[in-house]
Amino acid sequence: MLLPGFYDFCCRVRIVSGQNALEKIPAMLKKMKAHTPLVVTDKGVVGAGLVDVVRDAVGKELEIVNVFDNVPVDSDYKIVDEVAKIYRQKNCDSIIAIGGGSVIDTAKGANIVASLGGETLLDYEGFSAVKRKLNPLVVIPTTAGTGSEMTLVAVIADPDRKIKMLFVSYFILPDLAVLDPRMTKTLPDFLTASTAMDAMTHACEAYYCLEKNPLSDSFAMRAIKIISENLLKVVKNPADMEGRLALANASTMAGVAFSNSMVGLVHNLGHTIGAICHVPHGTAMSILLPYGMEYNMHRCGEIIGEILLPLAGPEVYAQTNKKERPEKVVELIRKMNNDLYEATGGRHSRYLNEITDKNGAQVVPESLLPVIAQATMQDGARMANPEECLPADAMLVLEHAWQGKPLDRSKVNKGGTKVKY
Amino acid sequence: MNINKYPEIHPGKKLFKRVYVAIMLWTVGKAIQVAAKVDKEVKEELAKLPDNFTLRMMVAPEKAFPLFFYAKTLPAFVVDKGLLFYGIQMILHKDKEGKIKYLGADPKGKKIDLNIVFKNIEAAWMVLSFQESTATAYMHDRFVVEGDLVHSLTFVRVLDIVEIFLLPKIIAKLAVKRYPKWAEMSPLRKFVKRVVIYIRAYTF
Amino acid sequence: MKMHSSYDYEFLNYPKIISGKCSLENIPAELAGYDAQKPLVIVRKSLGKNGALIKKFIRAFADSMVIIGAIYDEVEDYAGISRAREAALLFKDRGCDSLIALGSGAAVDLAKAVNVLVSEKADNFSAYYEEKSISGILKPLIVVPAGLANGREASNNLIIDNREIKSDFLYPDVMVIDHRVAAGCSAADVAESAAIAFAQAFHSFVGNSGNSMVAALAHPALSYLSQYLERGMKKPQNKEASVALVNASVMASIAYANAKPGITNLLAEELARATGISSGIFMGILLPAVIDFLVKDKIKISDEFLLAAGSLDAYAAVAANERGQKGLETAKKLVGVFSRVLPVSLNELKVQKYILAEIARDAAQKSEGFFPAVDCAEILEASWEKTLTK
Repeated sequence: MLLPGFYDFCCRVRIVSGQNALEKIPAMLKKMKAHTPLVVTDKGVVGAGLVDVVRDAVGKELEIVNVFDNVPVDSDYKIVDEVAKIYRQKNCDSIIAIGGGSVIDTAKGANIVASLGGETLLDYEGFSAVKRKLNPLVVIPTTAGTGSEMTLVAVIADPDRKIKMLFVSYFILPDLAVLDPRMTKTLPDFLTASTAMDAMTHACEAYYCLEKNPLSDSFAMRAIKIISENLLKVVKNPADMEGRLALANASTMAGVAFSNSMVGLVHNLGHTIGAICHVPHGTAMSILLPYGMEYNMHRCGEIIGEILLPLAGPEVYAQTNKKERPEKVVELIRKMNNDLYEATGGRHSRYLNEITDKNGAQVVPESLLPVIAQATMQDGARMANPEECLPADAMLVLEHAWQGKPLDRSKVNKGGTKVKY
Repeated sequence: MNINKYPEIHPGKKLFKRVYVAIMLWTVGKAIQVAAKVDKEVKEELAKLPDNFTLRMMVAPEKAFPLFFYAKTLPAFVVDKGLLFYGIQMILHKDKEGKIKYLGADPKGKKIDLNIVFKNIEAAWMVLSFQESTATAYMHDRFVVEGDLVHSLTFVRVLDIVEIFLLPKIIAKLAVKRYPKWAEMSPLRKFVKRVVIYIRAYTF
Repeated sequence: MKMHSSYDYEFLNYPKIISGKCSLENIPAELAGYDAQKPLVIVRKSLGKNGALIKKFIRAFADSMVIIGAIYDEVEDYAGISRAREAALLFKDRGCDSLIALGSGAAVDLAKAVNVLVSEKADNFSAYYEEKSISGILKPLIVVPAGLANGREASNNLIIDNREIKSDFLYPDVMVIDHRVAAGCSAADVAESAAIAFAQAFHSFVGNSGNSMVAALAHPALSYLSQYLERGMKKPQNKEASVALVNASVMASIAYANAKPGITNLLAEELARATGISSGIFMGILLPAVIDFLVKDKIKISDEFLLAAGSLDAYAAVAANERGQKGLETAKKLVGVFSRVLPVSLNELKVQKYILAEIARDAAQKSEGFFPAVDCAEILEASWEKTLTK
């Protein structure tokens, strides 16, 4: 295993996983000396009956009375302040976040204000504003994909200034993440597919991007293996609870990997497409992943080739010539997307031009590609990509991904020195 | 136990690295100011920053670097009153007309919009002596960014272009991810800009 | 291994790891993150005598706001209450707000103990040996591992005056691995530390408590041990090898804190208690016998062990049904290296044969019946006398 010249790694979240993980929450909270949690969630989660599942599971040991279910899809600091206010009014001493990325980020932000005092989150902007342990925060992810239960960043928008504020601190990390398959049981097949491919992208990019380190590699490898073994199975059989638990684990492992090792081109393009055309994150990820690998292949082909082992198993790995491994990886990811496309009856998109909204209209028009390519310069993920990516390079990748043909690697600009990790 | 056996230790200073980093920051500041005037690509990149924007690059912790090395010998009120300024810093300002100006090293009375902070002098030394490229340094958490991350990306891109102008290929290759080919940047442009930037940075 | 067991778990990997070039220089920024700027440094005596190393260490704090409260360098191979009290006094007298342990082993135990004394405002540990648990967050503790390790560096326990205290609050906050400190201990110390790391990683991996998270932590530890052990023992000055081996030791100790105790560790600790010789040496002696035992009883270990201890290609080249066996062979070869500098049999250490039965019984009891006393006795018996295979 590669020893990088320098690395740092931190994932201080306690993880509880299992078919009965939810039942362990009351005891864990008691250990943290918390008794009155505030549940933060959104309407979708409540609608799917997931808060009731948690309520039943914790039983009489912990009464859940305070529930805030007004977190919107794009949360901002005003919501955060509101949550903190309720937290104080109801004399809560901890937060249980049930939901996806937006809910988790809101809960992280609210925990800052509620623990450190003050009226608004704006007081805590800047990289070193949070300097002490916050109150207990428990996270129960309901989508097996984002991995934000493992990240030390909370992204919260400020609609007045039109910026996204970044709150980065090890103290923001949740104290406890609970992985229970009951929470993802009701997820429709195409969302299971795209969120799992999101986790797959986290793991793959963490494995070949610049900040790779031994621990993130180890977690990424395992996540890739679990997803490739379980995803299709779960999509075809949604009641497979063991498979769902495996996917939830994979997502968390991928979260550990990418929160310590950063992501590259795929996220760079994916974030931008998401911001401009409102493509769901997971969809953009699964489409772009093979292109991100192809684009970087001349810089770190050998490392991409190693992904073949967890992705296809040792037999295929041994049979494939070393030089052909990276291409085989790309081929298999494409095949995986294709299989998911068939298994979900076409609801899992393979190319950018295939993405449609509820009314069947195309979401990413070809005319917007140059705009997207320019805007990729404004996304942080471009830093960790092994190869430099300027707008012209982004355009090349986007055109191919839109039409759905493999990247013409002879057209990629080369000229850097060997990648040093 | 005789506690005097274990004295309190005040770790020293790295004078050479301080001077080197301060000179490099000054050079980079001046060079960006000039490059913004003479090069179209740099100008276009910097146009992405909002107007009336102040950017600072500095070495942390600010208070560890009083401007005068003998500051410790001065009476406390001089230091406390802020008659001295601290830090190894470089401040760039973009005014209402979009002109870039190097504002020296004193942040007093300026509202900093974007703060790029090297975690310690060793980190700044490694980046500014080209032992670590900007991207590697970012990966190794050698610096942190306060303010909107998007603008720091613009700044890093400008830094890359200026480094390509100023440094010989063999060194610049260490500092940037991909050295541009002829098609992307002609040697003539590179050479002319290199001469112009050096002359104007050190004379005006 | 059944799938069920590997996803049903509880896991915590608390310490942040910083490793590689210029890691020491990151300490002031890490301290600042906890609002601390005056650490008390606790150093192993053998390292403290190395003036050049201490100078390098202090140099890393130059141009920061950090003042080193004091460097307490009286720690020998053993952490005791009187030393802890002395250091705690120093801590309070200088108004320190954080702790740095420089060097592995007893220095870390002592730093954790001092932390309990100053944070919990306690005077001794008698209450903690019994029922009392540590009540909350302690002062920030940064560990810079170097030299002979005892496997508790990055872990959630401490041993003071031969008694153990365990609490998740005892995890250090940051582990800083830098070649300037890590390189240059003797080959025997390298081997002994590696034996502990291997035992911890091996048992985290093959034990039935192994969940996929623990395996993910133990994996790089085993990888580094198999890649760098030979080089690290031949050239303890080698920067890369020393950093890799300390990395392995740190990862193994976090993994092991999340796993059930392994048979090697239990036996070695009992032997160490009975003889006063450090447990790492016993692990070096016991490991070959433990592996032989697994081979003989055809106990199945996870396929992934081979992946961790060998390379990707080596793993893929072996047929699926032979991977467990091949993994054990690789392990056997790896632990064979220890015999070059460490003793190979209990007899060599003058361990009395009659105490073995008692040790086997104690270890079996500590494992809560997981390892039967017969198995323990068999392993001890096999390790008592061995022909040299140098």
